[in-house]
Amino acid sequence: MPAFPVILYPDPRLKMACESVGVVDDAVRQLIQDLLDTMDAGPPRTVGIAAPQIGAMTRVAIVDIGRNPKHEGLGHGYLALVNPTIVAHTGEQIGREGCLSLPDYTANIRRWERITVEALDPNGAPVRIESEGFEAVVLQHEIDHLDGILFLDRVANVKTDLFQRRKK
Amino acid sequence: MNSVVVITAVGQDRPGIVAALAKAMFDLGGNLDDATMTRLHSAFATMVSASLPSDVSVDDCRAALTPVAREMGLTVTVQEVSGEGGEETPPDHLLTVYGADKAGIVYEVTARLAQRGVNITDMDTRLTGAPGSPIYVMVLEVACGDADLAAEIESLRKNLGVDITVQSLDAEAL
Repeated sequence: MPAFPVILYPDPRLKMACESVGVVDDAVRQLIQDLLDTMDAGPPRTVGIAAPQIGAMTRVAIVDIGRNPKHEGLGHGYLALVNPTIVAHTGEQIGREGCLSLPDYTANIRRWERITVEALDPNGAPVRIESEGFEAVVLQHEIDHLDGILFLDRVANVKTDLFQRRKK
Repeated sequence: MNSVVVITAVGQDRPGIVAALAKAMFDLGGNLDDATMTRLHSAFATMVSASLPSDVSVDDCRAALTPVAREMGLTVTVQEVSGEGGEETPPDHLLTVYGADKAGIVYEVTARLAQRGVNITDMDTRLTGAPGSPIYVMVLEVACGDADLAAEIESLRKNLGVDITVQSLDAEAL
């Protein structure tokens, strides 16, 4: 399957909460495959994508921090999550984040250091994931997308940056 | 009596500007405190506060920076500031304002804050987004005190069509 175009802010769908998945069926598995294809076609080191970013207003996201060589072998590898929810968290961390839907822009974002996520896997089986550090950040970033929250809504301090400044 | 000065220096960007300014201040016995330095378009803009030793006047400081300004092609100002104040209203909120770029975002947002007596302590704005669909992002650190901004924020959201997030700045040790 070809990759889907990633929708960009200010598309209003990025600020909307998504619907929960009732039954994990073939359509949901196809959506997961679409997300994977889109991530494969995206910029190198793309480590997560959420369904609303390709215009599917459904609580589905995928995460794979191993796609960035810096984080290879850490975390859980490839995760496809349906209806993911953060059920517990401890600590705080601040790190630089960017987003496919807001290209060329990064900011310092405050996140939980360690989280417990409950979700359904692509077969509809419940999973419980304990995650920390960078993977926990990516999970929080993607779950935020499902609630219509962008990383800009969690900026930790004034200093933001651009990979490349654009001229008006 | 030690003077505190704020020095601004702006000029075409090139390597060595900060080093040249820092050397002049070091030779003068001045102590650099807070600094904000950034590239804006093709210019480099620096703002730095410095404490001068008791035997160095503000005019001495200007004189010491004149050759640096000439050599580096900078416009330099040196302004004495009162060592008092500035700390009375510590920042208590962080505002993020972002949306499709249009004229007047900065003016509308800051005018509303000013009307409410809200003090901006730090601000960073960026123009980003895909070509043909520019996004304007403002991040403001503000001291609201008792001002209730909820109604203002809601009306800015509606009138400007921007997204605004307000976060409380809790002083947490991380």
